[in-house]
Amino acid sequence: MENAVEVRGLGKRYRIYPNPYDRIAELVTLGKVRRHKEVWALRGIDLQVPWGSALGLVGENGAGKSTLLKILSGTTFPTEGSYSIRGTVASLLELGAGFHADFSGRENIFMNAAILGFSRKEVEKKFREIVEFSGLEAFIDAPIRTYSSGMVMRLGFSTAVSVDPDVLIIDEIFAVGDMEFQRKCVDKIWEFKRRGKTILFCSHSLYDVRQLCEKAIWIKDGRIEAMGDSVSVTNQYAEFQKARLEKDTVVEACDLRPIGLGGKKAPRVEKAWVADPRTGEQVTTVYAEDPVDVVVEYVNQDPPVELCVGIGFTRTDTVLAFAHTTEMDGVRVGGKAGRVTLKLPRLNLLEGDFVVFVYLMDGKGIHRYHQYLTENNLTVRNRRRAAGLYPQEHTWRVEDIPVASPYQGLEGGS
Amino acid sequence: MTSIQEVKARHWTHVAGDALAEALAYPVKVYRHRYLVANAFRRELFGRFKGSLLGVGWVLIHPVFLFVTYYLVFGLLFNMRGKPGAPASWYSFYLFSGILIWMLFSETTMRSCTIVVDNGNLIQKVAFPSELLSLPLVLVNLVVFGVGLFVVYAGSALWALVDSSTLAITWPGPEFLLVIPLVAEVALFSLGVGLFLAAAHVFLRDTVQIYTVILLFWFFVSPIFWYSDFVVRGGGADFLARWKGVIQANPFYSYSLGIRGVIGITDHPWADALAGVTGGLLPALTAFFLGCFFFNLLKRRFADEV
Repeated sequence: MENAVEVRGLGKRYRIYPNPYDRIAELVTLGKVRRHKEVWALRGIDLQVPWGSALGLVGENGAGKSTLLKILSGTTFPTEGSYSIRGTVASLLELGAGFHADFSGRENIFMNAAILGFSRKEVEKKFREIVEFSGLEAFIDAPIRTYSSGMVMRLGFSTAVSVDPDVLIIDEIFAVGDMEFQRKCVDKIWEFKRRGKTILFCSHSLYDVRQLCEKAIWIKDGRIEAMGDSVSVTNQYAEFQKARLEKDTVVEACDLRPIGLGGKKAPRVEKAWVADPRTGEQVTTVYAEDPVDVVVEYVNQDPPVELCVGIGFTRTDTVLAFAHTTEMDGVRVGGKAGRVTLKLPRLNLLEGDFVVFVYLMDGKGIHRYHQYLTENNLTVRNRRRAAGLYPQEHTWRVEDIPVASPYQGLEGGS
Repeated sequence: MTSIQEVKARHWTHVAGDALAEALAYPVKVYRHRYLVANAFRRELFGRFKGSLLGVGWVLIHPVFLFVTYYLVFGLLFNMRGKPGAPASWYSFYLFSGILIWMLFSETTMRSCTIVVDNGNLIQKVAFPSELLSLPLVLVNLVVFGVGLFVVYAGSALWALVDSSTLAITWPGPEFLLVIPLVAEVALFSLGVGLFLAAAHVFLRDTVQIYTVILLFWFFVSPIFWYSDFVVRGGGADFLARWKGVIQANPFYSYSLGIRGVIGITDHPWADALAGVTGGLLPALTAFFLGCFFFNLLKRRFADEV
């Protein structure tokens, strides 16, 4: 298969100068005096992204994900190696970069589009579409300075996606605007995917990566640590994070969102899996109408707090099938460590692949301590022919309706 | 057929080769991105006055007040004639025309100096030809210059109504046509210097401070304020004779001579305008080419440094 993006031995080195004099010192001695430190942000990256596929990038902050995306979007250049991209590229790295606060939304769309490489004709053609998508028709002639930050992001997103690129580069984009607009953004990205565009997607949400991408890479300290299908790579990464968290006494705030823990470990999901209650074994494929257990093992913080376990099934096209939490159902969880099983006596789902996710939350179900995805997606087999998520109880009735003759009225009048 | 974009890490010798090619291809790039340049030009011109009551009208008001002030201070208060036997308004026109051409250069280059750093956010996030950022600055200052030139002639027309005996300039003569190559040269020179400064400022943030000092010195060694007669009368004849070569090597010696020829306030307008244009050609081309080359040489590293 043809590749949309090929990366060969890519590396990026940054030079760190402790202060400006060091740069001058190197300059005047023609490099004989070395005053800088060298930092490789990326090294030895090899990648092939086939046409029409989506590649997810996961890794910790500062691992080099953004550097890679920046290089591929052409804003910065590699120190070694090379890459090639087939077709046009658009990057959603920064929305609304280059907007001028004193100019109206209309003027900024035209300017931003010009920076992105549009011609005048193209912008004029796209203008309506952009404004419509942003939903800012009423404010389009007001200066951007009067916009809320969410509105600016909406305008930026709308302009950026209007490029209609062959390759779309996304860096953690889903936090744009209100819920309604976020939904539109996600839809737009899925539309790109359906239309066979290539997507490079970097996110801290392993769930989103699994949903959108077939393949994923895990970048660690500037190198590719793992590469493969998105489910196994995100799991490896999640495992690594878990192992590292066990070592550290201080919980990092980035993924776990601890609330006022003061250095104590946050409650955490140790393991979660889908099992067949008849055998007790872990399963990845189940048949509809069968009993299914979702088992979650957790460790509480010390001293233990009240917890809430949420379990949900999401079909791989992001549609949430169902989710239940212990808090909603009035079940109390809060031991030092424990196992919580969601028992589904008769799985009522139509055929499909589902992501099974677990949220470990505080007792009120508000703050999320830990988000966990089971190692494998769950395939549900169902021989029933129907569309949607689950079969609704139903029957059919078919009747004929006597049809009146079209001449009847005229005949009656004569 | 889709385009294939191939990017390689390159040795600095290749980068230098690329920069050379890109410097030569600057006009092509301007044409290809003409819509971007036009938009950025409009933004630069209108953005400066956005939200002000008179808007772009300030472009006209500034030079009018500048000119009136010069006349009041130097023409009436100091009674400076500059040239023996010249009419009272002569020095005002002399100074004003010199300032106009100097401002085209100084305003462009001062703004250009920080243009890459100011647009750092853009440069880090969007791949676009950053060497075009300085061009709109030149274009805007060309507009300001054009308006200033209009003020010169409008001023002289008004003057003729009041007192035609002291009028220093008349309607444009044939030498006025040389304003086009002359101003093009100054614009090119400014663009080159501006590109050089913009690139240098990314790596050495003292550039703008150093350049401010240089600009001040440059202004006073250029014959904008002074006229060679001042120096001679002040006892500087020897000094002038000794440093003549250095003084004339200054591109602004040519440009200020040229602009005064163009508006016809020298003894031999046509010859002086022509001398200005021919003398200023080489510095303009050299500055443009070197500035463009230097900028392209460092361009790849901007996103990492701003």
